[in-house]
Formats: sequence, structure tokens, C-alpha cells
Amino acid sequence: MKNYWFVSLLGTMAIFLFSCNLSDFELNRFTDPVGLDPIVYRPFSVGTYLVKDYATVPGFGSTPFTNDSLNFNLIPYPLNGISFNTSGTDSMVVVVKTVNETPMKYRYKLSFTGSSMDSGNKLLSAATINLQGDVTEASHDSLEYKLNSTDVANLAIATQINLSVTLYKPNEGTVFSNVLKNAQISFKIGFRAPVNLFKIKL
Amino acid sequence: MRLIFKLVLAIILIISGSISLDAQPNTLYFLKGVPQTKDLNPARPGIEKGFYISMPFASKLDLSANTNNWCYHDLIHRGTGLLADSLVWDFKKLLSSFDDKNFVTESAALTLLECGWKKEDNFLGFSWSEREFAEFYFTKSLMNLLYYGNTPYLGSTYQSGYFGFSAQHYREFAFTYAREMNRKTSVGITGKILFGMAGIKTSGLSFAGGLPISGDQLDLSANGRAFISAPVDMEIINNAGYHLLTKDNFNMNSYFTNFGNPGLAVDLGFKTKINRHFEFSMSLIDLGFISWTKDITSFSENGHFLFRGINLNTQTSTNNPPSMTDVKSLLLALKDSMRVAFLPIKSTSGFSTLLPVKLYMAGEYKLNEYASLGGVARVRMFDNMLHTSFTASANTAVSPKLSLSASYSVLESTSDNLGFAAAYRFKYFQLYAISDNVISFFQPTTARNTNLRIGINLIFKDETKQSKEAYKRKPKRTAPGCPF
Repeated sequence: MKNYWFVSLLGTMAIFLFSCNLSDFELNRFTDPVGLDPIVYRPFSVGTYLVKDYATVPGFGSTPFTNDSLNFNLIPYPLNGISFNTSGTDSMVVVVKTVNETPMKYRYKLSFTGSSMDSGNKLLSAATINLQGDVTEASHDSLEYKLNSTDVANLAIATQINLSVTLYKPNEGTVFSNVLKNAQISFKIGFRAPVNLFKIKL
Repeated sequence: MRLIFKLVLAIILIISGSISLDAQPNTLYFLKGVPQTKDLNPARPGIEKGFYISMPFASKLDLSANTNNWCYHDLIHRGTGLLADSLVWDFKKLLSSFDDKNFVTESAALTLLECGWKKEDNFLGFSWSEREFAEFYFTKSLMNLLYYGNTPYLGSTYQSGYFGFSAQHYREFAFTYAREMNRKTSVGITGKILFGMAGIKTSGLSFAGGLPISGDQLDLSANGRAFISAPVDMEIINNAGYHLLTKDNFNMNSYFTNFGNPGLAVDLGFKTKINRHFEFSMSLIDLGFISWTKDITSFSENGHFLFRGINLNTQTSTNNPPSMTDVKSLLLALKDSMRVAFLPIKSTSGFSTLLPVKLYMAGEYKLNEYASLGGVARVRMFDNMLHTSFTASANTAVSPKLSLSASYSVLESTSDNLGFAAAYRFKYFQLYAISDNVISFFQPTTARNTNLRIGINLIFKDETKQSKEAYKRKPKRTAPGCPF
């Protein structure tokens, strides 16, 4: 009787032991990337630029602005002593939102260490102006720039980011000097990036 | 003797085959001839007569681990196709396994000394145990944020829901008294004096983030409290947040002789025979608290911050055109503002913790003097969450030396738990091992619940147990708890 119970017990245990599944613990068999890359969005900076602070607008008062374009002086952002923590980030998307309250079309370029984000040849819209040349509605644009691993590496070592802006005469309407001088353009920059939580260094 | 060796070997095999193990298995409730049934119901001490003492410093060991129906295999498993021979991470599958509220718990208890004495209608018992448990609870929403990031929440407000962590190590001195009131009814009570060694508890931890569709700002808020009672200090170092420091005067001796965090608990038990075959019993276990007053560090958080990024209009130069010459100072100022907004307030106010209280309701149908069928329902409450389980078991005393139970349990929301219990007695020695889910030891990657109790008793003067003749005789009482 004793042997019967003990043999039964051992037999049951043997069945369980043979069905034992420990292969999921063979961690050296990992070949797949972890795949935990939440996409994190964060606002980074806000800047508003008055035209007269960054460009010389010819004329005064309600003199019509007749030039085809107007270049802003380069707007530099020295990054002395700043190192962007790009650990865990192999690529990112820079989201640049602009609010143009000038009566001019525009193009901008953000550049750093051999990489740049250029709004392109297709000019961005001017603000809407009325017959008197006053701005009635600002134009809003949002462009995204995908930075690859090289760009991300360049950003990590960048010592300065430069913003260059050029305004272009709109197709319709008259731009007056005093309106243009006192108009402003705003940039809101944010990042959206998949972050590998296993690589991030805090 | 060879049989004992084989049984010990079998128990070791069971233990070594397991990855994580568990405490207080329901299958113990009806295991015959084991005094430790009183741990689940003090009205049911498993000896009929005599004195027992468990093996000093190795009386019994309880281990357990539970989740709410998710497991290791949900996250890590073999791939398919070209990856069939590789392991892959599968966070999506893990997320799909989560409920809205989730937890993972583990507990362990080592009884260093236990003894009991049954004479006529009265039972007296004493035990000294070291117990610990830990629990992490979290919402699916929190895991979604970790997996998907905050981008999907553009245009909405993210709510993490409540999450937190609790862990305690405490010492328990338990005094049990049970009495058979009449031929049908027994009652039992265990008073427990507790001493907290170290504890941590969080309360109301949550955070929220409002992210407008424009992405212009992050409206962050965080709330909650955390309490620590341990020989550690939390200090701000280099203006870079709190750091955990071990106290200079810390040593193991002072840790294990800490009697500064007293607590009390009680177990109440009751059993009654409904008729010749059926017995109903009920118990309330670990109804008590620990008041933590020594080495306290507590934090409260009620922070809010509107994060818009750096304001580049804060020109640091008055040149014409105004220019930014020091972006770093703006970044540091932003970082400091956030730190101040979310820096928890530290204090040394004490706190109290409740033990994970359990309610057992059980019925046993006695087939004959040596075999019965039983059902146990258990409700465990901890951190405002209810954990339920139900166990049906078949129990038998195969011989005067060997008792066996086999069980099927629905634990939490899992229904694949086959349990087994065995107690073997050789002269004064009794070895026993119990688990509600033996399959978990062999299929650990898919286990949602696992537990194990093993122990050694020395039983003396239990003359009816010693005598094979007495075993064959009908006992004076037809108590279904123990045929010996």
C-alpha cells in the first residue's frame, strides 16, 4: 500500500517535471529589440520676435514696403555648457509651430552643427490684412522635422542653434512700413521622440 | 527511514522546481492531523490530544506570489516564424492581460518556534514568526503611458490613477486558545503581539498631465504620500532631490531587536457540526494593525507645474537686437522651478498599517472517518482591494502516518490551480508540504498564483495517533477535522 502511494506520487511528479517549461528563462536567447519606446512629447521653447528688433525696415509711417524680401539678422541661441541628454533617443521629430502676425510671407531655418530644419521653398502664409494694411488675422503653421541618428548626435554636441528668418512680400495687398516694423512672429518648438527606456541615462 | 528520506527528497524537488512561492494555502484548511490548521482557523487545531513543538528555527516556511491574472509569459516568451527559437519582449500582450487595476504581491513567513498542547476540550498554542509581504499596485493607464508615451494624450488630460507600493517586515508572537464548547461547537482565538521591523507604505499616489492639442504646454500635477519606517535617512544632496542614506549607527543587531513599532492583531475562529456529516466553520485572520513610530520618514506631495518650455523672450542681453546669450541659465531656472513645484514635503510623523485581513468560510462533508470533501472561500482585503479565492478539496488520512489532500482553486480570477498537500509522520516527526497550485512549480512562466508551505513538527503524547489500533477504532467523537 505504501509503495503504491509513493509510486503514484513519484509518477505524478515525473509527469510534471517532464512538462516543466523553463525555456522562457533562457535570457541569452533574446534577439529582438526590447520594443519599449514610448513616444514622448514635450514643449521646449517659446520665442516671439518683433520685426524692428531683428531687421531694418526701410521707410516710415504708412510708407508702402516695396522690397521683395526682408532678412532678419541671425538669431543665435548659444548652448554653452548645455548638453542635450539624447540617451535612449535614436531619432526624434522636432515640431515647429509658428504664429505669423506680419503681413509678409516667410521662410525660416533652424541650423546646428551641420544639420538644419528648413521650412522650404514653399513660403509660409502671411497674416491677413485689411485694405488699410492692418493685420486682421495671424497665420498659423506647424511643420515637423524628422531628425535621424546623425542629426540627434549633432544636436547633442551643438554649441549653438541659429534661427534665420526671411520675410517675403505677399501676393496681394499693400504692406506698410509701420505695420511691418511693429509686427511679430512667434516660434514654439517641441520635441516628439521615441525614448528607449532601457537606454536612457538620467 | 528510507521513506522519510524519499519524502524529504520529494519536498526538495518541489521547492527547487519553483521560481516563486507562496503562503497560507487554502488546501491546508482540511489537511488532517496537522496542528497548523489553526493558522487558518484557531477553532481547528489539528491535533486531538497531546503536545507538539515544531522544529526550532525551521518550524514552517510560507511563501507566496500572486498577480491578478497576468504572468511572466505574457511579457517574455518564444517568438514566432523566424524568431521561433528566440525570446521576445511582448509588451502589447502584457498590456492586454492587465485589468484596469492590477497588482503583484509576494509574501514570506518563517516560523522560528511553535508549540501547542491539547488536553480534553482545551488547546493552547504559541508561535514566533518573522513575516514580510510586499505589494505593488498600479493601473493599466500607468502602463499605457509607459508603453505609448504621452503623445496619444495630445488634446486630453492624462490621469495615472492610483498606484503605490506597500511592504512590511514584522515579528509576530501569537497565543492561541481554542475550546470545544460542546460536542458540536468549537471556538478559538489567537491574540498576536506584533513588532514592526521595517515598513513602507504609499497612499493616494497619482499624477495627471493636461496636454492641449496644440502641444504648447504640459499642465502637470502630482499628489500622494509615502511613509517609511526603516533605519535610513532621506536627505537632499547637492540640491538634486532626496537621496536614501543608511543611518550611520545601523547594524543588523539593532534591526532585529527593534521593538519600537508595536502592533496588535487577532484571529477569531468558529466551527460547528450541522449534522453527522457536515461541518461549517468560519474565521477572521489577521485583523490588526502596526503603529509605526520609530525611524519615520514621511513625504507628502501636492505639486503643480505648467510646463511651457524655455521662454526665449527672456533676453539676457540688451544689445540691439536683443539676444539670448545664456540659454543654460534659463534651462536651469526651469529645472529648478519644476523641482520646487514637485519637491515632496518631508516630516517624521508616524503612521499605521493594517494587516491583510482574511475572512474564511468553509464547509466540510465527511464521507467516513478518514475521508472528507471540503470547500473554502477566502476573501482577503488589503490596500482597499479585495482578493478572493475558492478552494474545493478532497482530504484523506491514508494511514496513521500519511494524510493527503488534493484541491482545485479559483484564485483571484485564475481557474487553473490544482493543489496538493501531504503530511507524513514517522514516530515523533511530522513533515508536511502544501500548495494550492503545484503546476506553478513546473510551469512557472505561466503561473499567476503560487504558494507553498512546508514545515516540521514533533508531536508527543498523542497516544491515539501513535496507536494503529486506535486509528482503526472509531474515535470517541466524530470530529471531521482529525480522525486520529
